[in-house]
Amino acid sequence: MKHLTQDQLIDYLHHALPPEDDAAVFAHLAGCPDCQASMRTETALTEALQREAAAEERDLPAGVEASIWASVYELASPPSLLERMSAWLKPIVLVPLAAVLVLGLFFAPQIFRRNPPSIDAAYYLDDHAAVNGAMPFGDASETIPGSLTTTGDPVNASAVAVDPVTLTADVRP
Amino acid sequence: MDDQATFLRQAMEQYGKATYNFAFRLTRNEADARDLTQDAFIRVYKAWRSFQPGTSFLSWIYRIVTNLHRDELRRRKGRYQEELPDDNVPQEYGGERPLAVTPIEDYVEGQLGERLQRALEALSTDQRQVVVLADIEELSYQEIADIAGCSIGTVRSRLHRARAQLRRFVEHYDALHT
Repeated sequence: MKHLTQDQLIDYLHHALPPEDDAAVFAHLAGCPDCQASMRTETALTEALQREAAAEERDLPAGVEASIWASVYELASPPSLLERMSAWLKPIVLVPLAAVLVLGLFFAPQIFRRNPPSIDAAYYLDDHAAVNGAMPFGDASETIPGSLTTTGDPVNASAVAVDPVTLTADVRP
Repeated sequence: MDDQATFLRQAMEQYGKATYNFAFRLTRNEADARDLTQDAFIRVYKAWRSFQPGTSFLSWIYRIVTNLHRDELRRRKGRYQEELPDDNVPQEYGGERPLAVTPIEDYVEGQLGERLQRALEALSTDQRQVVVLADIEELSYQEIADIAGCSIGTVRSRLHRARAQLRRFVEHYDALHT
């Protein structure tokens, strides 16, 4: 019979064997007094280590905790120049910026409405008067035929009389 | 108290003692254990946001302690020395082994403290770390590998060698003193 190696026993003790190997070691140990004795030795060593560790276990010294907090406060207390600057700048920058934004939103519609047109209205009036005077059928033209008016008044050109007979003749088939 | 300080306070309340004891078992020296614990918690305070909720805080701080201890050893020695190679060759005993009637079996009931302390001190730092984490803290090989920053094979190798050395040391000690 081939005995288990010490390494196999150590891994078995620490539950570090694959399931099939673990089962094989378990089965072998059940029928092998020699390997059982070796296993007891390994187990005894582990128990001895644990017992020794428990015996010398100690609390965290109070001084250690105090030193840690002192170091932490030292790390946290002096803010960097940048942090101090940003703390100072925050109200100085943010308040005026917010004010400008509010005012901008308030006055924006008025500002856009006030925008002057690119061409002055007087230009259109003058242009209209000049063109109208030159056109033969314009409002101010004197060349409008009198037959097209009821009154013959060229100024009252809007009152154009259309001969109904002519219109009727035109629509006949 | 802000979140960062609250995190630190809770960490110290819950894990301060365990961390200190782990540091002590690692260094076997009270002054070094105090310094290590202090530095570890300051690092926890600085790096508190990097802790992943839901993972083991103890594994995290043990890893911090381990790294700090390694850094300190490097600083003291100039370089960190691996006393034993990190191979994973199992120790073969051939077909037959002598019956394991060793003094270790008597330790459970006997005077173990001094002998075992000396045996632990005789281990390399890496071996002692693995023994503490595996046998005292009862962590899995994977957890130990995560803390030590090595492979599971390396953990297994270190543990096997460390335990073999502990057995030999205790047996030799008993042979000399009985």
